[in-house]
Amino acid sequence: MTRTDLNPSDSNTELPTRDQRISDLLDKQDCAELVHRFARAIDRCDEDLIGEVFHADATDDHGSYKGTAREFVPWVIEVLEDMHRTQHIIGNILIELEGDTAQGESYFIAHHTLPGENGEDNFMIAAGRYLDRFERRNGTWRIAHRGAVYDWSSIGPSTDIWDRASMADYSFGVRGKADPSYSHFGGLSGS
Amino acid sequence: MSINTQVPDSTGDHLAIQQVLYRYSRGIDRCDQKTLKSVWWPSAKADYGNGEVDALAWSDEVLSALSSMLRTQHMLSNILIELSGDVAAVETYCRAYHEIDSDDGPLELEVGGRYLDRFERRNGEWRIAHRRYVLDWNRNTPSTAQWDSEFYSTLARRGKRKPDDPFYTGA
Repeated sequence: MTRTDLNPSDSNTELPTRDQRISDLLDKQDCAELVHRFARAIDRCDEDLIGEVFHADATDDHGSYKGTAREFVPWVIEVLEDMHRTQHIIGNILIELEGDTAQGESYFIAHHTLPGENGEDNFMIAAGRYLDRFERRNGTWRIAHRGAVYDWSSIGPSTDIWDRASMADYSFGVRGKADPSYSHFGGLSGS
Repeated sequence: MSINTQVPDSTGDHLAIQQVLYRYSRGIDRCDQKTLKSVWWPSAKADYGNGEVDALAWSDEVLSALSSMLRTQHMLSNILIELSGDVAAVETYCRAYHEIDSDDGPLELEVGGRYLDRFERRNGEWRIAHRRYVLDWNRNTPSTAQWDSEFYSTLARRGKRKPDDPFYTGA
């Protein structure tokens, strides 16, 4: 049984030392940040940022896509470009550490505004979980495999009431480097 | 095994920043002026879309607007933090639910957005020095809340504003 086994058995385990607990905390923080960076990369439609969260030989199984993470990037960008905007909200993150590997389960509620068949936009929610395998190589954690599991969804006509063009003082989220988050961050922007 | 002492500090900074953000939500959703104001440094600026204003003065005004709504929930997630000494650039997703009264019955207004904050650490404490709010999506529909239905009526402990919320009363 590993220290952080999420399917605990009744085997006797020694309590981890304080240093070990701090080390585990840092590893979990790094893994959780990858999940959040992935969501940011998707929502900003930023190929470079998506690529940064994966190891070079990583794989992805989104159901509708199964293959290498390298080829997942252009596939998902094409899917995203058919939509107007997305926001991937990450909830519960559970991480089970085992040395240089970690298994993660991260809940997501993804909001999408996309064109409907009659010319009006739809608002679609897809909710599920990312099942990630994180690996630490040369001291750096990245995603080695991601599987997406879908739990529930909801779709209806968009009820968006913002006239973006006439609300010049407001900051609106956009895809790509024009989004205000790029000037806000330095190193995280991937530039 | 000994750990570089600087690295656990970053975890402490992350947690402290996260707690300030969560206090913001409590302040807003419970209409708790003291808690809301505790997230800002004096002279902090906030731009929610109507230009940059004094964040402490804004806090007073927003609470009178919020308290006229039936209920709100500001759900925060995806907190990305870029630390640089005593300054941190932070992006936080917020999905804000508001239920308001209208002539046609209660409405649900939801807003998906992001807070782009500059946190500063002064005398060891992290607070927000500057906030810029970015709007991502919105959804506006007649409320479908069913508080009196057979299912929900058994779930009787309801969120309220300060000082009536169970958080304050302990009820």
